Amino acid sequence: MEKSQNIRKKIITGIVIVSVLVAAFFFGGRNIQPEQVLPAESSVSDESSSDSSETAEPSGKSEKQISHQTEEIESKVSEPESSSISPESHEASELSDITSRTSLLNSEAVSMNSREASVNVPSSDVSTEIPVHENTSVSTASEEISVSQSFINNSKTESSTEIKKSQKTVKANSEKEVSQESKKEKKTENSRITEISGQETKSEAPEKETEKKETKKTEPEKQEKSVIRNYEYSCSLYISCSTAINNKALSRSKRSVLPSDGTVLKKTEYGFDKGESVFDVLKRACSENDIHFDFSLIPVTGGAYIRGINNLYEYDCGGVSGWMYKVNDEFPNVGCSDYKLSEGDSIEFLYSCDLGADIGNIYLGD
Amino acid sequence: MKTGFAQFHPLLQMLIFVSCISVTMLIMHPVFLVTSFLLSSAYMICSSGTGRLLSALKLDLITSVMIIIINPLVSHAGVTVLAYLPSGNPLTLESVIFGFAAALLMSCTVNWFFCINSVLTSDRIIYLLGRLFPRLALMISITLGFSSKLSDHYRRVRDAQKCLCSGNKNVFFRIRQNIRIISSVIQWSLENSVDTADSMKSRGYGTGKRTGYNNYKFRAFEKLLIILIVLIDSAIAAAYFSEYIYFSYYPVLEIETNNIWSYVVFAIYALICLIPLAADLMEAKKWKYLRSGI
Repeated sequence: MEKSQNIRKKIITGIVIVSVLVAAFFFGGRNIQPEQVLPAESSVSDESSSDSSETAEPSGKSEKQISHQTEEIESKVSEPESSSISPESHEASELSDITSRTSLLNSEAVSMNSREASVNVPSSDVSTEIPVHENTSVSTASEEISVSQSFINNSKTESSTEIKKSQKTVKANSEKEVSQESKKEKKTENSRITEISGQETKSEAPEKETEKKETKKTEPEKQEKSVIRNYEYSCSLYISCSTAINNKALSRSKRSVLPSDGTVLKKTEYGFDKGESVFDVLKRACSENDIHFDFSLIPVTGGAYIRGINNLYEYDCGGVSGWMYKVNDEFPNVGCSDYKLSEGDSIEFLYSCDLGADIGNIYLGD
Repeated sequence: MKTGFAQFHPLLQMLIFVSCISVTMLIMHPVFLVTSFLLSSAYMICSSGTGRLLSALKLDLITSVMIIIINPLVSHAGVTVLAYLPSGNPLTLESVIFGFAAALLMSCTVNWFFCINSVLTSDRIIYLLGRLFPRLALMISITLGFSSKLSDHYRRVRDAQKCLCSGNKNVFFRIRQNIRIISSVIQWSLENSVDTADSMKSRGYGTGKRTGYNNYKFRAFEKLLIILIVLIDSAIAAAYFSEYIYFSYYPVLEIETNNIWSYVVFAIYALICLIPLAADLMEAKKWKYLRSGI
């Protein structure tokens, strides 16, 4: 017993540690996503740049929340069944079976009302069609139940067996309806929109419907744009490590990876959008040309540090070696993710083995 | 009574372990890793049974899993890109393989230290280090002894507490109980250390130079072995620095296999790792032979 408990504890602590580490890793540098940038419509581009995965599948997200809501509703339905006893059931205390059944039904009706109330409370994220739809369906259900109730009240004088049967059927019907409702709720948004437009609750949320339609229209446009990628401005990029090739400190395996003349990327034109930095362009160029690229994001400032390009890393040619960058033949004194580009800039990434002295940036001291 | 490798001269034991561990750690060649892991495991089975090996392997597994998961997430070097991480950095095949190699290295080190723990007892450590760093050696031996004493005492107190009130599964109650146990153990340890200090003082610690009795003598073959091991170590170092055994994990996975000398180096490294195992096995065979003669 004790041994197994100990092992379990150890496993749990291990899993917790690993999961915390993994979570920290994945969400650590998440704020900076320089890859997706779309300029034209301000509202749409804001959404897409913040998180593309969420906006790509809005239906899935809302479905989840809907199912969550239905769970809540079901739990609310189940509560009053057990607890509340309506006054009508007290009156008909003679026929115990019937009373219990009627109380059940009454409580169901009550719960339906309560559901209406609960559903009407607007939740912030979910689109407003859902409560509207539920209002309609619930109202129909409650109507039917009230009908069945009246039927029961009338038929109290009749023989008990018949009543039992009829009530059973009524109950079954109501249950079916509940299940149908939950199924309906899980349908896609499109069908829901049509349903709502067909039903009588137009007055409640016509504005929001139109809003939703507008956003729907904009979605395909956005996708097209991301595919084409028309950039406003252009700059040239050149990556070279010619200084590293003849360095003696470079290991044999690294040397085998580098290109023979040291040019990792020939001078090519790349487009960029307003406000993009050197780092954004470099990252895009490397991912387009399948050049290996390793960077680290500095936690507080969010600046990027380039550790290696094309598997040539910092410190590979001694303690004072690493990547430096030039814009228009000048070495800027800011990090490459903080340097905002302007039209026609020519960027050069050069590998230095001697703190920049071998590529024309002699360090003169403070 | 320990026999075989445990009866070797402490210096020889130390030398063998240090060369085994340092070669695997400094030269992370996959062949070295595999031979070191297998032979250390085999020696552990031979010297102290499968139970100890299993407890070592448990520790190996935990550390290995951690390393294998973390390494590809942290290091992004390598030519073969498998996928891109959410941060934008690449996940490479080389980093995954290096993670496995590092995990194996960690397991090797753990295994060898388990072996050292069973062979190099505290008096041997004091003998080895006592002349160079007398205070340090004494402190090491005291702390090594004390940790096991402490865990022993903790177990005893816990058992006693269990007898007093068992079966209560309330978490808070258990926490309180554990705190009580730990506090009592700490009190005991403080008291014990004061007692030890008094005892040492009354026996004249610090009045003069410390001497220690030992009965370790170099036998002829042990001297030979020491020379041989030093030679082998230097040969391996020379082979590594002159790239007779060439390999690389980053940025391209490369292992040179067509060099005959590299096989020689692997063989002589295996020889060092084999010494403890061979000593124990030969001792067992001798014992069997002697018994059959009666």
